[in-house]
Amino acid sequence: MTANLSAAEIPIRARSVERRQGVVRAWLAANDLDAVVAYGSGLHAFTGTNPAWYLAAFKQIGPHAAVIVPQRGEPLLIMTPAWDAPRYRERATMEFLAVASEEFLATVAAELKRRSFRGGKVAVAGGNLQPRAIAEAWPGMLGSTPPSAEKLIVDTSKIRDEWSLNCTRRGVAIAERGYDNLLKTTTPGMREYELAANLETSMREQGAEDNFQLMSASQHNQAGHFPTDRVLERGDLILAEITPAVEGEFIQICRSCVLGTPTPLQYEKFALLRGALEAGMRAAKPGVSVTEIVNVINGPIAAAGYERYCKPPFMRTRGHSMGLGSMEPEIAPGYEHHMQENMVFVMHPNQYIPETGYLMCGEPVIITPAGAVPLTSRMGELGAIG
Amino acid sequence: MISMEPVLKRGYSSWDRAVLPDDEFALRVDGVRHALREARLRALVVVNYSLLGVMVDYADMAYLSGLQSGGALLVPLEGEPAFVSFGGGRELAFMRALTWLPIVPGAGKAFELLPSELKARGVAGGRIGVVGISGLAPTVVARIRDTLAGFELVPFDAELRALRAVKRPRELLAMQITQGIVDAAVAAGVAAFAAGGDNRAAMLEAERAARALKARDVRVLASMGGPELRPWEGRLDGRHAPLRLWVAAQYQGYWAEAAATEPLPRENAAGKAVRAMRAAVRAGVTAGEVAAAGVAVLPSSAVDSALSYGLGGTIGLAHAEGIAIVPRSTQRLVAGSVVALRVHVGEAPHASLASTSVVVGPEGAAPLGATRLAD
Repeated sequence: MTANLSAAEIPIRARSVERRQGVVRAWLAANDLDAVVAYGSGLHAFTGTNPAWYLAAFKQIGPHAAVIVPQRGEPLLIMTPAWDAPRYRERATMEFLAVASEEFLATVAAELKRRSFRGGKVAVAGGNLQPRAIAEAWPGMLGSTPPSAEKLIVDTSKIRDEWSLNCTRRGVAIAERGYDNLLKTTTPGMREYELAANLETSMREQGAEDNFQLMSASQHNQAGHFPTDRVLERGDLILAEITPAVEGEFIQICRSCVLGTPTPLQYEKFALLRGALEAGMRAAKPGVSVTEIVNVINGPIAAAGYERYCKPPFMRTRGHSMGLGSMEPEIAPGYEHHMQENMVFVMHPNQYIPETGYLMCGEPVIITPAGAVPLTSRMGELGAIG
Repeated sequence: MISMEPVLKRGYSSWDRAVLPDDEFALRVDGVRHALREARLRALVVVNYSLLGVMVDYADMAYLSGLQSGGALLVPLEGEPAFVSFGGGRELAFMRALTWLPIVPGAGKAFELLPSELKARGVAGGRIGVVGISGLAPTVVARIRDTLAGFELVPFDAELRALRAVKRPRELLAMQITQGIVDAAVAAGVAAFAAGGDNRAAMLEAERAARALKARDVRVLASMGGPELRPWEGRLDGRHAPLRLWVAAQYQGYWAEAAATEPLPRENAAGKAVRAMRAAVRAGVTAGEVAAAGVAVLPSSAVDSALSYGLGGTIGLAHAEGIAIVPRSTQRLVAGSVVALRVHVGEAPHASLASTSVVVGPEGAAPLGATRLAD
């Protein structure tokens, strides 16, 4: 047994899978539909959703997976490749077929046919990374362009359930330990890519199966980037956007630290962003729009004279969810999302400040009636190394 | 070999100008222009929109720009090529350090900028080649066709891939560096296991070694007690011999892979099949013939397992560049291309994993070789 599951976690996961499929079944009944096909590509980017991952609570290694959830009857997972079957078998919550990638579409078609669903009564949630060849196969396979179940999956997954929160909290703990390890092991003379490699392997060592990581080390950072040859020097401000994944659930912390002692100016500007973050967290109550939260976060930063730096290219967004279930909410102008209880996302007034360079200050939060509550054991401070 | 796709390729990302200097890319552009003239095309537009542009299927783009990013690349017959980025923000300064090309900030309108950028290079209409469009979502294709309505779009994917298939000397050097990385990674993993570590330790040490040697993307699979290979999952447990360990990595966009079995079984079925396939490799041979050579020496009980994992294929700027070594394939290997050959047998008593990479020559295969970067 090698799955990333303890004995205590197995029933939690099973309950959540059952709940998720129950939501789908209720939606099918309400819409007089026979089944949903939830597809997932193997491109596990958190800029894209994977409906099959959400309904199976399983991150496939192959390029294709699909979960068929009928209104009545048992669900079925069809996954690729065939040789990955043992990994699902040890955590299976439904019947499954593991097939070669070339056999995927034919297998889905055969299983749908075998169930004799009514014409036009099978909905599809393909996710936004669905390849063209798959997207174009559904109408032929189902007899007509299928109804979309995309919004159903997004709306369901953005409100975190027991299993999602379990994985998320494990991810948060890994991220915090990873950052602690960075503080302990980073020294002048290291190169950026060595720092990144240390962080990467330390995250894996602690249980992350993946990690979205942006970092930078400079006397004056422009933004986070991918690691380079640059040699770390005393006085460098190190930026770390650390985003481990546990069972496909990504969660992010954003941290800044100085190789040496931060200057009073660095403390002052970091405190400005931290204050903006805390104001945003207080404002982020159920029903509040993301536009309102953006305004609350930008308020103190603009008041300090940095209004022009509260937009691209000096920053990107004030926060965001991380797929693979839902990309909502995005805490940025132009989005119409509203806060809902038990949404989880990273809130981060990360941005460029002309006196200090780019600073990162961000927390994973959960929305409660009292506002956004950090999932971390302690909120980020401007760190000092050595 | 199928492996778990990471969310972000987040290892060493500097541009190694010693291995791939500006003039290397300029020579590649010359080759493309020659092919464009032969096809009577006035320019080439390469689009990388896969996975919203985050570094999957980057081969065509990287071949001409060095970038593994989403965007659109313009190569006119005359004048300066350019890269039009999808974004326009904070990442641009870093991207500019990774390419020899000027970057036009697309700021969400990369496709819409294409006509004016082509016109600025003397191409206001007529036939142009396009690469990277055929697999895109219909809405994206429609957007590109709308914005380039004044042009006749001619698919050029096969022509560009034919150019890419034959490795240039500096490409071989980049691949030898990557081979050095994966060889060292496998050796580190095997050493950890041989020293008493478990399979998890072997995977971790392999990844650590690859990243320390400047791999940008690292994929590790290992046996964990069953017949199958597994990706890293966080809580992998226990020591299970023999260890079968596979590592793939890319450096400067170029892929290589290596594998080992520890301890090596007395009957190394995988190694024997890899050697047989290697002996069959030469320019003009079909991939099916190469596969048949390997299958012929495998125990019959091991064939299905080996075929399900794949026997390898051409490799370069993509881990799978187009020709897969599969039974009955009629695709022919081209001189100058690189082939990674691999056999995995999961079931005892033949459980074993082996690989080798070779350069295809007219008379046979030559080892790709491996080199280490100077510190």
